[in-house]
Amino acid sequence: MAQKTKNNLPSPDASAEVVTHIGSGTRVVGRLSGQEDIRVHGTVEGVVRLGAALFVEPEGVVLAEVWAHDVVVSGTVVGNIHAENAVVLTATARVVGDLRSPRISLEPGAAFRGAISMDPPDVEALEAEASASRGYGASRSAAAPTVRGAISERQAPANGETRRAQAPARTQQSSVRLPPRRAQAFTAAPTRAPEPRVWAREPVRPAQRLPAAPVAFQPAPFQPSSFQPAEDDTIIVQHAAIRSSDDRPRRRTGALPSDLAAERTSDLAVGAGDEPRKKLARPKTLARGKHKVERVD
Amino acid sequence: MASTVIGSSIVIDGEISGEDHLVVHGTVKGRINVRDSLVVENGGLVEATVESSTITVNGTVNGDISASERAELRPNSTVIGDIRAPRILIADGASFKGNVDMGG
Repeated sequence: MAQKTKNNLPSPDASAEVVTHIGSGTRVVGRLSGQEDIRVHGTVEGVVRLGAALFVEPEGVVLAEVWAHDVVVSGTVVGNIHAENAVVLTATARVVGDLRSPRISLEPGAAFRGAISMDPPDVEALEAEASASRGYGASRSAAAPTVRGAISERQAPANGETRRAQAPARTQQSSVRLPPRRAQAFTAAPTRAPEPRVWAREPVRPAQRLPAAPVAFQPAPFQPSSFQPAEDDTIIVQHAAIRSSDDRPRRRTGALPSDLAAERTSDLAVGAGDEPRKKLARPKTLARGKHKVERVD
Repeated sequence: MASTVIGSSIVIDGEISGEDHLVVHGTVKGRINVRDSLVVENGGLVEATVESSTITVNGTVNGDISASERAELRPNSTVIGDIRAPRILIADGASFKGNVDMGG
């Protein structure tokens, strides 16, 4: 298990006891599973399921759906990351995909595009993914684990071809354009405590000048469809260009700044029948997970 | 650092390819194609078609082995499959079932 810092986040430097190591000239395609830490200096494609920590080193590339206890990314990951404990994106990380973990740390300099959910990984989704990767459709995922285990033992040879045929489809993800590599980490960044948010200090501005969008949108179910975001701990971090109404975060009205709340009520009072949210031009996007990836500037 | 190690609890179902030295303590199913040497350690299980320059087996291999230089089956190793290599060593105590092709 990875060495933990005082925050219970895995440290990127923990290395002494790590056994499994994917070298920089090595490429692994397919399903990778296990119960010990893995350090990836090379390339891994497909699906990773670990009971321990996955370290993606600066030169490492992971094009995979990742399920692990901890994930520490210093390199490149294209794919969704699900961690039971923590996800850490260090300053050199480049990630395209959604993060789901109770603890998420994004260090300054990390390039990230996707959604963040701080719910623990969805066990049902993990089981569905596991059974799907064994060559079964989602309809089979409801089967009892014992039954499914028995079936997979019996049909394992027949499914080998299916599994291999799936691999090229996954690797098409590699054609997406990643966020830009930062020219350098924020070495000049001051270490003093961050200042309070500016809007909290300013006098209340006229309501019309404030963006109505964040409070006006109704929450929509997060995909996969079984996932219901909890109100208090869901944060969606997305560049404006890839926002879609599908993964708009739910906002607690109690947390609204008073000027935003005032503007909302005034808009609702004025626009009889015409909802204020329709005024906002929103970029059209494709379904979640299939969106076209562009540069983040 | 140019080496790859698959730990004992790791299972890989797919393909491993590359130019690094590869050491397998765990399980690999599918296919292995490495340009450098491959070592299957004691406790390692490879159910795969294996291609490498030098292949050393201390564990178990179920599948065909093709080495461009040398294949070595150490004592306590178990291999089921065909071996193709210009030089082949089978140690006393190794278990082997299959054909041998030394490229005569």
